[in-house]
Amino acid sequence: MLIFEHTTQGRKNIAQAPVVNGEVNDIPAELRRTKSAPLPELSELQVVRHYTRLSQKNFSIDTHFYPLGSCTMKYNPRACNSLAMLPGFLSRHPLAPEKFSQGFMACMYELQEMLCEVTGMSGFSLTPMAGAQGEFAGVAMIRAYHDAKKDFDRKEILVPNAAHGTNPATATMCGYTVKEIPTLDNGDVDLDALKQAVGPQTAGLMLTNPSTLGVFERRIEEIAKTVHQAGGLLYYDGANLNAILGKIRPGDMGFDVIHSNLHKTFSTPHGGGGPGSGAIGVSERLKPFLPLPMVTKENEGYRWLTEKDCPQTIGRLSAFMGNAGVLLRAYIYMRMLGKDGMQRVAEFATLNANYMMAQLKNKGFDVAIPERRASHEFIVTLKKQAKELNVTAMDFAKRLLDLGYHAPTTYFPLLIPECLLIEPTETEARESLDGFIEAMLQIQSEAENDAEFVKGAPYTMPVKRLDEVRAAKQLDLSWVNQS
Amino acid sequence: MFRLGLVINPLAGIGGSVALKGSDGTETVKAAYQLGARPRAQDRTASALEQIQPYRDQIKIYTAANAMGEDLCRQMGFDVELVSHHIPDETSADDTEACVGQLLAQGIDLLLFAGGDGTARNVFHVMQENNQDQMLPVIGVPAGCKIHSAVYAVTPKHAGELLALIIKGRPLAVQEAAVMDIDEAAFRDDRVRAKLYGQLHVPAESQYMQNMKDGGVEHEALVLQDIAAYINETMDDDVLYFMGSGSTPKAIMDELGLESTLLGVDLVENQQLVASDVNEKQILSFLKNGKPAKIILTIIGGQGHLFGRGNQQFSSEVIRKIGKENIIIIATPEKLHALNGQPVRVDTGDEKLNDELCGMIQIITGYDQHTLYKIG
Amino acid sequence: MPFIPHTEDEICDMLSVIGADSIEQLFDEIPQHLRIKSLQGVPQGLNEMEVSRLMQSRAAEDGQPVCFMGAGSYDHHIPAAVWQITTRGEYYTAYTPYQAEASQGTLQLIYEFQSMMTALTAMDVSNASLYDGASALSEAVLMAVRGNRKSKSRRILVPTNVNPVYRSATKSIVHHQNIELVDVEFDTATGQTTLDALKAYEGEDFAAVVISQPTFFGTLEQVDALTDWAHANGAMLIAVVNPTSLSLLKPPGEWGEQGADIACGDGQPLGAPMSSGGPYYGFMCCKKAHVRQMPGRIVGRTVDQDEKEGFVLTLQAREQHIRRSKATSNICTNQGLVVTASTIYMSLLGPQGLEKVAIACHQNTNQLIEKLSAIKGVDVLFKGSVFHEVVLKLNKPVADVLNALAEKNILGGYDLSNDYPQLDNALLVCATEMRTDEEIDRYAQVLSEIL
Repeated sequence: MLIFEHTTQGRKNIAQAPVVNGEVNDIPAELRRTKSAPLPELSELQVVRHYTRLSQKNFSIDTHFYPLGSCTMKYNPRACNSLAMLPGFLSRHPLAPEKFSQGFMACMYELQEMLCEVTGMSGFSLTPMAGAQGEFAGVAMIRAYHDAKKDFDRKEILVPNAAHGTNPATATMCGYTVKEIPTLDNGDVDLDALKQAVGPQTAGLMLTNPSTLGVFERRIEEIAKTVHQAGGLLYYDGANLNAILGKIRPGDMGFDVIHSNLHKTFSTPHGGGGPGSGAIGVSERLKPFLPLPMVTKENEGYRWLTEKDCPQTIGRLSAFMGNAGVLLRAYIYMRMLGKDGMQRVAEFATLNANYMMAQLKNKGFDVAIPERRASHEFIVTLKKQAKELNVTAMDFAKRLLDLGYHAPTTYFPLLIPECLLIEPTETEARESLDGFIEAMLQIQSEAENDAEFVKGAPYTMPVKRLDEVRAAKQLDLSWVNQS
Repeated sequence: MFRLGLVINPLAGIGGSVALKGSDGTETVKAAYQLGARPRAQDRTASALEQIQPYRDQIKIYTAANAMGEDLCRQMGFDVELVSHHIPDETSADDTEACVGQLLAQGIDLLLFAGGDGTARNVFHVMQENNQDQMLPVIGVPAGCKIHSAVYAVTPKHAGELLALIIKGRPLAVQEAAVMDIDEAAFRDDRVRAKLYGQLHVPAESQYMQNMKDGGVEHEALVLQDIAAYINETMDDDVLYFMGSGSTPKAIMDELGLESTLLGVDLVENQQLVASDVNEKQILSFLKNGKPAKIILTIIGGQGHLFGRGNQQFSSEVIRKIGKENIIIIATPEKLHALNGQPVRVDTGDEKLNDELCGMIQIITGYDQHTLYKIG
Repeated sequence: MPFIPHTEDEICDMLSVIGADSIEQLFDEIPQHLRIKSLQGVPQGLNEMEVSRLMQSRAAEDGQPVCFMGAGSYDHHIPAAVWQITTRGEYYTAYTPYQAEASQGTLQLIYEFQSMMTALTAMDVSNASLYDGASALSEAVLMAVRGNRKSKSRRILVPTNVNPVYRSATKSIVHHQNIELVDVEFDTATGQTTLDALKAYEGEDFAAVVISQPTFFGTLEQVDALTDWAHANGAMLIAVVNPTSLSLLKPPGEWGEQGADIACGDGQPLGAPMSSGGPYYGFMCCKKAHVRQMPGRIVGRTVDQDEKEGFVLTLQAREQHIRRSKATSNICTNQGLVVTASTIYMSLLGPQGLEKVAIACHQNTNQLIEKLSAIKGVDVLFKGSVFHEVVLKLNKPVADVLNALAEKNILGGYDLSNDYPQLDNALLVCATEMRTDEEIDRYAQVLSEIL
């Protein structure tokens, strides 16, 4: 039932609303609302019960193993939440003078510094509010860099064909055209094709390493050299930073720009789809172009950098400074891990992924690139099952839900047919990994014996498979406008 | 037979090798020659054409004499027909424009041109004058010094590869691509800025647009819904829309909330049903007063027919009256792939019209998604 | 090893399954010479007790001044239940609801959120939210360029009384696509956008006109006339609105003859703490005819195989065509968790509670105006009524006054001198429902002492 359907007209929560005396009579009638908004009217208990019950219809990291590839669904420590929500942080107005902001700014400054260190970059701006916005900032800086050099001929961004769809969209937003670079069967970028494609028109290359195929790009130095020699810059999509944290740094690989998804690597919550954070780091030559605001340290105090300090900045991307509360959570997480804890992230994320890959391979599942090491994630392809049993990756995914596991990422990357992209993360204990492998085996045997049964899954969720065609055809997007 | 139009700007790129900006103007060209520069347009076009050499017997190239295309094509063993015979030793923008004009008059499936931003502007200019800028697909072979225009493929080889895919019958997406050139006014102010002159339609081989992390399975019914919504949103007022038979056009009628005749032709104007299940005679009478009209139809049957199967109402006379440019073809990508690269067929009963309808067409395959395909 | 559960035995077992000698060996595909030994610049880890101590002292450092500042972030009461439920693990640690069957909680909640936003704005449809108010405006601008079929223009009319940082962020985001924001100056007497100012552009092609209600100055626009002007000139109307005000003010769906085409704004006032500027969320609503041009996630209600009600992400192909379109956006995510808080906030307050919040803000601000403008050296800059913010003109440089107020633990408002150098000594102040009579009196008293 919808919250609107629990409404009883006239019911109100007196405790929640302010006391109001008198009427408003100084606002002209033609600017006033005439009918009150059709919002729900319930008691506090009814509201609490409704949303508590709704929450129970969700899978979450706190309730289920969530091996969603390329999303890094690791444990979100509770301390990060409760400390980021201390009243002093919550009640700070974003435009409060620096006098009332030193504690918060100290956290932000140290976060900038730590991010520089772990990525090998020279400067960081925390303002982008999601990975996609970080990407935008990064490519906009590449453009600002070439423009500042009056090098206006660079109008192309190169993107491997295994890349996430946001990469080309971002390039387009920045006024670039996109050229795809093919990927070899072993997961590496086709270097010959890259060499052919670069030239005086190349503004930059956007790359994820390890790639979306879950393997480390071994010839990264040669790639960097190729792009740099052509005068282009190298963009690192930080989606897979968890795999290499503390082991190798994008800056040392030759990257000029990186966005870091703090909601992945640094364990800020995904919140049912945001807020994320796409903090953006750059090498020395791109520093003047970083988006504002940033924090700097002067005489033991902190102050905001503004357009006066950074005249070449690409500007502001949000009303204030991005998702500050998310940044605080990432800061706390990083302080708790410390230098050693961070290195172990990559180690155990990689151990878990390789273990699962080995087990699944041993039990007869096809792995996309079996001859390679897995990074923090790997791909199982169910091409065989789809062809022989007519059971697809989607069917496996849905049946996994019944068995108490959130599905891995399905049908991404598109280069691999019927794929499951599996990322266990470092915080999962071996029991979870083994349980998942058992579940995969159970589904395999169900598929062999009764494919229709698997195709009908899930059976134990609050709903069965939903009619997406009806959802699109008979658009019902608001209860208010339906009834 | 694939009718490929080709224009080479023989002087393209000559300035670049000796660090002159562009090759515009005879003075620049002279200066470049004196500095020892050699043009590179022939070599570059050759690396594009190499990619389609294996399909020579399926291609006829229409081009201009000598260095503007003829020499290279003959050298590479292509079947050539000249649209212009007299080319001066030193060509200019006028020659490019004249040649493009003749190619358009000739009727071609796709225009391949080699040059730089100036050449792209010449092409755009002529196509715009001939109202072809929204219709005829083009591919640019980058050979000039200034390549700001997105109509150029990233490399000559890449241009050839795209062409080969089209000739093999692969359905390719069509995108609007910018024709850019240095903004002369800004240039004189010592600011170098590329200015947008217009858009041409280029084929693109692209897989990356789909990004949903979950849901690689595009439900055909959802795609159909997208097509219907797009057509519905882009329908012009006061235009007669003759909706062909089949379930794809019917999805549009559903979206409009109108009753439809599954195996007949319905007439819609201003989102309202004007007539149901009309025959040829009725269609012609609706067309009498010269109102603009369009046909919306899909590919029918296993052989992929556009006309002549279950829609004989669209007689040759009707089609001629409405005009090739007013035929909107819609189909889901699944349906196109099922044709396995076979061209869409037309059988209007009028051989001459059939011939006229042949060529590359843009099929609407999603919301604002256009796919290049061949009628043959 | 914080948050890593493996025992030594398990590590050995797992390595033997893999066939590797050590964890180190798992990194053998990474060129050795590029590897780093340690992260020198990162301090040693802290345990929970240590990090708590650190964060508590940092939080305490910032003090909690009495807030008379608005300018895009507002100090409202948030019922205790809002964040207690929002931070339940099932909401807090869930991913984007791609697996609909395992995400009905989040999906239904978003559907309810969309419903509530359409209720507040009187628009047809809402998306699942965008990043914040500034990025919502930039997305609205891109959407208008995509969606206005009557106009071929890439120019947008934007009055300068729209939040200046919304304008500058929008410019940063859209200018690479050759989209131009054209300034329209406000009337210096009223702070409003006048029809006369718009008439200078009559006959020119614009994709959209942006109107902010209330304006950044707190003043109220003549929304009906401005909306009708936009439509008469073939432009779409983008409304930037404060959601708290919508219980009191005419919703954008009812502006003028046809209503606004797109309504957007920042959702922070509906249950998100000021929290140094985020996370907030941007909301966006539009007419149904434009739904396929709207960016962001959208949830629809449908049924499952057994005809049981359920919720899914719908119109997903939009994301792809928006990426190919003539005004591209790369946005993927929403601000789900803050939307969760907001939905609970709106449910708890209900229509009457929200209206009371709006009225209390308005009345407190009027009271503040009355008290402050009685001080010598303080004038109200613009005539006409306001919602919950007002521009005061002081007889001294605002920065000095704000510093002096800060000494007395008062956050006195927002100095407009950087954004509007033409306005001398102008201060933007705000009093939400949180400000008590005593606080307002104290502000007046301290200010009169300073001046």
